[in-house]
Amino acid sequence: MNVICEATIAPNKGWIGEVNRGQILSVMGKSVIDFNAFKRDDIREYFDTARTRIYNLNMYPTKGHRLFSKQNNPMMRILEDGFAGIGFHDLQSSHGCTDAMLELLSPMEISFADLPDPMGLFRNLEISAEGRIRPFPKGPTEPVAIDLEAEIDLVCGLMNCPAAETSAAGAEFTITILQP
Amino acid sequence: MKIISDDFVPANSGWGKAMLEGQVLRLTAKTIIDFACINLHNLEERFDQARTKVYNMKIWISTGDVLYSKLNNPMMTILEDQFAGTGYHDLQYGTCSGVRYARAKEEGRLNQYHHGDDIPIPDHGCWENLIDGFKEWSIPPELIPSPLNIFQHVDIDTKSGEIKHTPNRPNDPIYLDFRADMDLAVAASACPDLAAPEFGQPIQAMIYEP
Repeated sequence: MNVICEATIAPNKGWIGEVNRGQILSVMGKSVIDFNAFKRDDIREYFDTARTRIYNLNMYPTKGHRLFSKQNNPMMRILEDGFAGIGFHDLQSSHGCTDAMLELLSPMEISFADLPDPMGLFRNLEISAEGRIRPFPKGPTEPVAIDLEAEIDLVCGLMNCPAAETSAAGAEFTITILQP
Repeated sequence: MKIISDDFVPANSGWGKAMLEGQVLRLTAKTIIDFACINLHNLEERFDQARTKVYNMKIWISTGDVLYSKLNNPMMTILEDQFAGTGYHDLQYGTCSGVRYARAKEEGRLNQYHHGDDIPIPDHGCWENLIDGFKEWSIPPELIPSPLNIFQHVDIDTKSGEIKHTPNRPNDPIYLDFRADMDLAVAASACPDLAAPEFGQPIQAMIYEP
């Protein structure tokens, strides 16, 4: 595989860039990372948490699941999930770092009101059998990776959320884009 | 109570109205109703599933809980929930739609959502119905909020995250009363509800002053 791009993202910083169809976005970290994806050729089509949950019939996205757009089209496929067995990525919450994500996405001219809900990588929201969302999530203690294959040409935005409630606040993360 | 409006909404169709702060919306049905609301004076401010779950700190909401907007303001408060004790309203599903039914059929997955793979599928669903319900305000399809899915009881294994469609619905029409906490455009879809024992049914949408 050829490495197309590598980057290290400091706490409270973000990364935005293109991930083309067939390429693999590998995200390695232990802090909470808010993730959004947009169809490159029509940014009004973007990743949607509800469509994704129901396509996969699961609240917790992991290996084998697909990410869907509001328009019901596949966007990405999760090839590997190093967080599996440790915790779950979050598809329930809003952004924990809205202002920073808006600034990151400023080239796309997205308003606060239209900012799509993210996938909260490594957020590990715990939900009780009664449906109570527990306020003390724990992240991974060591960096782990999630690999996502683009099914269409995308612009992806990732924000290293400063979310103070996580055990790993303040850690950097890395992204690698691979061309198989 | 003073009734402001009281509308019959046929199966698999949409309904929408403006309502004022303090007025109460009563939605009555025995099958799924997809519901969303938008600030009447700022159409950018819309109901948001995620904010609603995080503010209430739970994935199922009922009497006393509040519907929140993306902009972090309270929009509506649930006053009476006749489904309580029988089932939960859903905040995981987006909307059904013509394209989603077509994709499920193409992938041979209708049975995961409904009762059988040979079931006839509708050409439209709640997404189209909500677009129609909000037509006076011309909300673009991609900005129709993922709804509160009333009377949609879903089995969720909160350990594995697995979501299972169920046919569990009210035996007879029951209602949900919720009060507007700001002036609103509201829309509801009488879901085609292919998982319900007798499929989607008409709904009744009443706005009243308490």
